[in-house]
Amino acid sequence: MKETSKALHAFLTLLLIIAAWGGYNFVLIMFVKGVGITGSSDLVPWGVFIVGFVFCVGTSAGASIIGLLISGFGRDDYKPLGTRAILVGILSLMSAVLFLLADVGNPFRTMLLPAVIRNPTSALVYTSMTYVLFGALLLGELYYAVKITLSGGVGSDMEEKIAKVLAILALLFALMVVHAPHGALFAFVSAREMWNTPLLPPHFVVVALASGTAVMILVAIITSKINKSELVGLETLSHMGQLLALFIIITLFLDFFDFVVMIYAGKPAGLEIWHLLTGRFAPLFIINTAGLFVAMLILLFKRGRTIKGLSMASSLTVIAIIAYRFNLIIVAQTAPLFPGMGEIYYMPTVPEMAVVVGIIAWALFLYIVLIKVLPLEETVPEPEIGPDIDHRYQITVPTFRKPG
Amino acid sequence: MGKLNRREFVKLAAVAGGSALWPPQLRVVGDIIERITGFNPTEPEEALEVIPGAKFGMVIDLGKCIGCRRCMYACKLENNVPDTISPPYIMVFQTQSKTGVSGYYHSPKIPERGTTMMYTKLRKDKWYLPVQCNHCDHAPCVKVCPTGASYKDPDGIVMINYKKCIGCRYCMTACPYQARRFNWWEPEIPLERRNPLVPLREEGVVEKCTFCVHRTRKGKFTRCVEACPNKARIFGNLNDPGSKVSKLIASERNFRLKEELNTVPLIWYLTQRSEKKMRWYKPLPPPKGIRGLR
Repeated sequence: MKETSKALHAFLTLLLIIAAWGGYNFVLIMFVKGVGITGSSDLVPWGVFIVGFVFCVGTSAGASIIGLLISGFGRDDYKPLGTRAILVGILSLMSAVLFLLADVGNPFRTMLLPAVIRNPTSALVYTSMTYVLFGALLLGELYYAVKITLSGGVGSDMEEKIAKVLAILALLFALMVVHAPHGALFAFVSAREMWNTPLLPPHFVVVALASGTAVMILVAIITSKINKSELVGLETLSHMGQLLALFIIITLFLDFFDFVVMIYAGKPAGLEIWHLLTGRFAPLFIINTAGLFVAMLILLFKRGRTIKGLSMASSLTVIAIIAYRFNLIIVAQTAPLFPGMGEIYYMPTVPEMAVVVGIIAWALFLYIVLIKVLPLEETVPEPEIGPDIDHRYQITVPTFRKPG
Repeated sequence: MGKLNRREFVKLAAVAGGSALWPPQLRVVGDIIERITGFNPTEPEEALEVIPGAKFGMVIDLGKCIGCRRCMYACKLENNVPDTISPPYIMVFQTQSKTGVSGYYHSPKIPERGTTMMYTKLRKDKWYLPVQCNHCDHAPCVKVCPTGASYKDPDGIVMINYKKCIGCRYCMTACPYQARRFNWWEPEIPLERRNPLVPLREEGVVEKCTFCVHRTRKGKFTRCVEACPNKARIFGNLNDPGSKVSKLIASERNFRLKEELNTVPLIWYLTQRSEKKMRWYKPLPPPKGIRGLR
């Protein structure tokens, strides 16, 4: 026990150091030097911050859907994951907003964006509103989950009802409202061939589900390993693996037709992007498609859905989806808008990557600390009720697990 | 919150939700928030009065363009474009008559022969295509701008309110003409090079060609039109059927860039090779101390 706590403290310190490094660069970008120190340019205006931002929003929606399955579809075996998934959802949403603030030129004006509709035709207004609403829903859900757990696992009727309504609202919101407008945000841009497809909003939703499920599988497996006790049974994990396989299959299906239509139509811009994807950005493209394909193969067979196979498939999925976001956002911009503009390059700079790593480290740090501080389902011991003890005198005391 | 009972709360939520669907109502809320926080994007001070009934347009005669890029220099000086923004508002592409498109704007030698500023002859084997903001009627940048910082004026000019821009760069990705530039760094322009008629931009906002709004709304031509040695650029009022622009569009062979996107640009390109003899003019030496014009 002592060894693990030592290792944990060392890990937390490391995370804090990385987060501090990222925070320093974040301040540098936000207040001191401006976004000029990123690798973006007038030709590639959106860089890795937007990649991270879209990935985090997707993960937030996907993870909370997994966490809310208990209320939505009555899967009781997902219960231990519930609060953790909501926490992952909240923290990913926070990271997404941090990415956005690092990216924009005027962060303080941006903060007013959800409150002020100045241009009703802009998709960005509505997406910024969804963060606020979704964040509020998730926070409310977390509040009631913690409250119910504190009162011994059973809340008052009112609390249970509110929690259930909030959960269903959040589930619907996550499925339909949170990530689809982001797809639309890109799909509205008719100037870029790769984005301008009505397939993008449903594609975003499916990819969000895949990334959320993959992250939650990883969370479940790592938590079980650290606690040396199973958080959820292998059957539940296997079920999640099946879900993930389904999402990956739909993603690959949509991907396939997206590219086939783009190549078949034979527009110069589409061919240009295909040329880039199979040429300069071929490694990323292979990571994206082959990663998803291998993960799908692992998950489809029962022999693959062991702890080892599941963790491998989930990690592959997360990496492949990050590569997919990179392909979608950056490769689409490196395709020149005028023929003969030459090769357009984008390379993230060191401060930029520091901010990306820092934000992720900060979210991880917060997750670990909050998991220790917040009373979660499995930390409340079952009341030991022997046959000879009078139930009337049995008092269940909620216990907080101390850090370490 | 404690005093609200559930019914009242639901009512309030309904009102809040309803107003989200009704933007004009929310705009009032936004105004109040802006008052309180001091974030008050008023209309730019330098906004000049729109000439009633005018609609500006430009015709670029590709048959006359020699690719000297004087328009680029002049525009940069006129509009206080800092050196950190490169290319400036106007990009010039070089195309080859026979083999289609070649070359690109950041080639150090456009045109290939002769120094950029001294080159005066019309070449038979090359075409030059200047590209700038097209001031589209259905501008994608105006559609996607979340704060309404980009807006279209009735005289056809797409303007940016630098006090409203949040620097999200959505407009830059949405523009099919690569016409918008972002202030990645704090723009620095030496005092002697500054044009007092044009406001200086701050860091973190988007800027672009304004059709020299400070000149055209006072009845002058844009600076690029004045700078063109071969009179390849013609500027005028599209609403006036007697103007040179309207006549050229009606009579000459022309095209607009990326018309298939239905952005309805206000810049027309004439394609007929001009056989007129080149006007002689005294070549200007390149201005000293200007960087970022490759």
